[in-house]
Amino acid sequence: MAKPADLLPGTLDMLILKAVSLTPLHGYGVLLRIKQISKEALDVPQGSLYPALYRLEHQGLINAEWGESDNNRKAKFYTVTAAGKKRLKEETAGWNRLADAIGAALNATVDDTEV
Amino acid sequence: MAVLQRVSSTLRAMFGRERFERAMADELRFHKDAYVDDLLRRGVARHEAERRAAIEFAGAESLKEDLRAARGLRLIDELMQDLRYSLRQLRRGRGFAVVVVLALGVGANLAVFSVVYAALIRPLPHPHPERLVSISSRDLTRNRDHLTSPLDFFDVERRTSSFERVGAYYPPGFTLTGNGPVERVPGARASSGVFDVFGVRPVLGRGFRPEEDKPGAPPVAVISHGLWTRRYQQSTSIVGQTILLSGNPYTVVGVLPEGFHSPAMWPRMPEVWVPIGLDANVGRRDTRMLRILGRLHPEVTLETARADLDVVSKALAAEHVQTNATTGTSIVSLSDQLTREVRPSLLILAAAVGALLLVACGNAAGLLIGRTLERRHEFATRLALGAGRFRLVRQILAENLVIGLLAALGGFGLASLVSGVLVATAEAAGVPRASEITIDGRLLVAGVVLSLACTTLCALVAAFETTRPRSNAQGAFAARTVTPGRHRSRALLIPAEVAFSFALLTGAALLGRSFYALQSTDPGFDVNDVLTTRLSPPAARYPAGPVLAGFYDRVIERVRAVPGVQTVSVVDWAPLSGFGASIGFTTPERAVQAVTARDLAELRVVDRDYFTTLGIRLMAGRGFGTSDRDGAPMVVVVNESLARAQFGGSAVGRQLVLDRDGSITVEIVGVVGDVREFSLRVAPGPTIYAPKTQSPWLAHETRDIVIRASSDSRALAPVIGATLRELESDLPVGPVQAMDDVVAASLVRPQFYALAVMLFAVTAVLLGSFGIYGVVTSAVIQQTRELGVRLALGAPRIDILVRAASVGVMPTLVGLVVGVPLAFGAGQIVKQQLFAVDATDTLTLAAVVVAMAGVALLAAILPAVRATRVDPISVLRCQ
Repeated sequence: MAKPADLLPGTLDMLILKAVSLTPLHGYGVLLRIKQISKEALDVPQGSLYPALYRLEHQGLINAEWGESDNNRKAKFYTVTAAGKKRLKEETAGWNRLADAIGAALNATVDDTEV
Repeated sequence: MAVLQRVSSTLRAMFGRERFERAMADELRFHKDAYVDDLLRRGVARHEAERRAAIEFAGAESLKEDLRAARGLRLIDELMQDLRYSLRQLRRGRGFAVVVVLALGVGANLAVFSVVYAALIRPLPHPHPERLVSISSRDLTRNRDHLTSPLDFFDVERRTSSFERVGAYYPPGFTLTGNGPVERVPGARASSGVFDVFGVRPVLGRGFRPEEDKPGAPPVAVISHGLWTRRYQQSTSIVGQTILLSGNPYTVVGVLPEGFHSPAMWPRMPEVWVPIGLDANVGRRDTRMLRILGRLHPEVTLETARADLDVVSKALAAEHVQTNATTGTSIVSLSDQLTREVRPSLLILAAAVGALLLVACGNAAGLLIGRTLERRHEFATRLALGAGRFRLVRQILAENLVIGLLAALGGFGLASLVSGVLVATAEAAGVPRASEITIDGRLLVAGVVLSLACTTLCALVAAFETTRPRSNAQGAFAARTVTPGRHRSRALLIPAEVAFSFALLTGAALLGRSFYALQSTDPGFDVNDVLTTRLSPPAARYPAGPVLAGFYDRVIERVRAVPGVQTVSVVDWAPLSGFGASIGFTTPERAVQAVTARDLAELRVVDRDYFTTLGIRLMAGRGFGTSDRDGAPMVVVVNESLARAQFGGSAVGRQLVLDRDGSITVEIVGVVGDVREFSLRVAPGPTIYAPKTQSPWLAHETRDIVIRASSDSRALAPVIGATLRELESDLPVGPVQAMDDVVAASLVRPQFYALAVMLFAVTAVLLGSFGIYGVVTSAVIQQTRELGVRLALGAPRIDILVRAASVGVMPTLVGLVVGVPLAFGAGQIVKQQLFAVDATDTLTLAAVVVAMAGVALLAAILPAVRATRVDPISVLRCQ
């Protein structure tokens, strides 16, 4: 298993939105879920996770609600809001365009370049 | 939307701060626990799992700070820190003193402003109040405004074109009987134009018709909404019903709208209005009884209207020589007329309280400078430790904000506290619209603005002082050991405080002396043991003439029989009642010359014993007696002023020609001393006393009863009241007042202003003295070492005292010198209100200088005495 990669700036918000858009999650759950859906490739330190969660909640992109965790403990669960879904869609599209462009650029061969 | 969402998120976190903090802690604990559980599940030993979790959460506090920042709470937290620190500083340092000083100044200003606003600034409660005017006839020989005769009024109404409408009224009271308890209601006989002038329409029925202004008008009445509600339960069938006013039936034709009230209606807002056409004098030009109000056409100026009126009064003077030869017309805007009398007094009050605020500001600035200087060490340390300059500035601002807000709250609290007393005193002092004085939110806003302006000013002065070159970090440390130089702005503050206090004290002293002079003015009669009251016998039952005269004879007889009563008499208007009548007169010698202008004299119709009852001095001849019956030769008594002016002294036996029923010739049988008929302030003019026992005075209404008691008149008052009420069950009897109380009541007003200004002045002087005291004290403390060395070298203690005190004495002297022109200015401001005292009265000025200098020097010397007690040994060891 490779060493977890550092997050690109600006991508954490996107990942959190993605994570909580699948199912309501508490903070620790978000951490685990990002690890899981990135196939252990991404590790988010909790020192960045919580400020991001609070920021997103502040911006009204996610909602927080207190509920019971699997082991019957009180935990704060985050869900995505309508505004959050919209933002996720935009960011995903933006990311895909960027990734395609960068991928294309990095895969370019001599044939593709006009001299 | 997004901004709104964020603001509301911040606000929720701010106001649910405890919940926010708890939730944050819970969430992080859950995370830690879940992490530990996970590790345990993966087979890590418990102590190892907890150790790893602890490492992971080592920075929990800074994480929490980040989370708060994410919610926008950080800026607010820092501000709160500044504010909390400021409050702590306030509790410790002189900040509290600054708050108290400023609160005093602001509170006094708010209180005075609330009075000034209600009385002078607030617009009249009528549509387009700026177009409302008051019109008076004017006696051109004496330059005095007086009431207008009905025929003159109708000519003004008919012949002028500047007015949309004019209206006239005079204010009789009515006794309302039938359908309820007997009630005395304020009323008005009014012309048809009055309601249009005020721009008011009856809510029910109609107002008056123009034909009701003429003799033979039907007995109709318009009633106020208040009376309609109180007595007739808002019954709509009131229109068309008959009510009994002073025994006469009137048909109600209209009800005025709720809340129709005009401060212009004198003396009280009428509850019952009847047409002017019903008045017996409506066809006369020699009976001056009406007040005229007018509404100018839009665009017409007061000057145009004045010219318009001048043309009319000149024409009338030519057409009706005997009555109008010396009669002009004057016009002022209604709001000016209402405030004219009180404006100078209120402006004095405003000036005084403004000066007080300046002194308070100076004092506060001095305190703040001292405070900032003492904290230079703290600031320097904090700067050295890396505090941001902005953060320090922000903290100073926060402190001043706290001081300003606290002072505003304190001042507002002070103003609210005194508002009850204030309204009562202002009402007693005759301030118009005093009942409308309100201490409300707007005043609080004004207080905050005023207070913040003051603290900003003070802070600027303080900042200027502390940011001067020598107050850099080095200087700050050095200040503890090196004798500081004089602080320039502080040295300016003391003279300013002294000068303004001096001016204020001068104004107060002049007003005080003037009040004292007024109080000791001889009214011309003996006020002790005299009672006075007013009867209002219903005109229907007691028509003027023999019936009314008989009624008063019975009244006198009954009152005289009361034990303790010495003499009783009646008069149309008692002295100091504020009312009066006048009459045109001339001498027979001048009367034979062609058409001449008549002189005007006060006329009082009195009964026998009037002069003895009031203790008016008989200078020559005799008073009225039983021989002065109807049919006997017509006689009058005149006062000294008239005798001197017309006859050069000996007037007894001479004759006068009076404007009454054409003209009548009367003989002067006596001369009495001058009486101040209107008020203590108004010098007596020529006065004629006529006997009510002779025609044409028989029909004259004499309302006021004067009674001399053998002793203790106050105890007698209720007995007299009861006796009068026994005469007839529904006879309206006014309050029975002791004459010295009437005199005292007439003094309430000058006393109010003199006391208020004196209060402000004393406060200012105290503040100024504290300022001086503070400067000298801190100078002494700062110079302790130098003084100790001087003492050790053998300087006499008196030198030390002089040296220390000079810090306060010099600026005090400068202040006194600068204050002299200011004091003269204050004299000019109060000049108009002075009675028998000159505005540049040397004695007063000298006394004020001595008092001011005395207090200020005391304030400088007291702390300086401490300097002489410095122990040289301990000072030297200490350093």
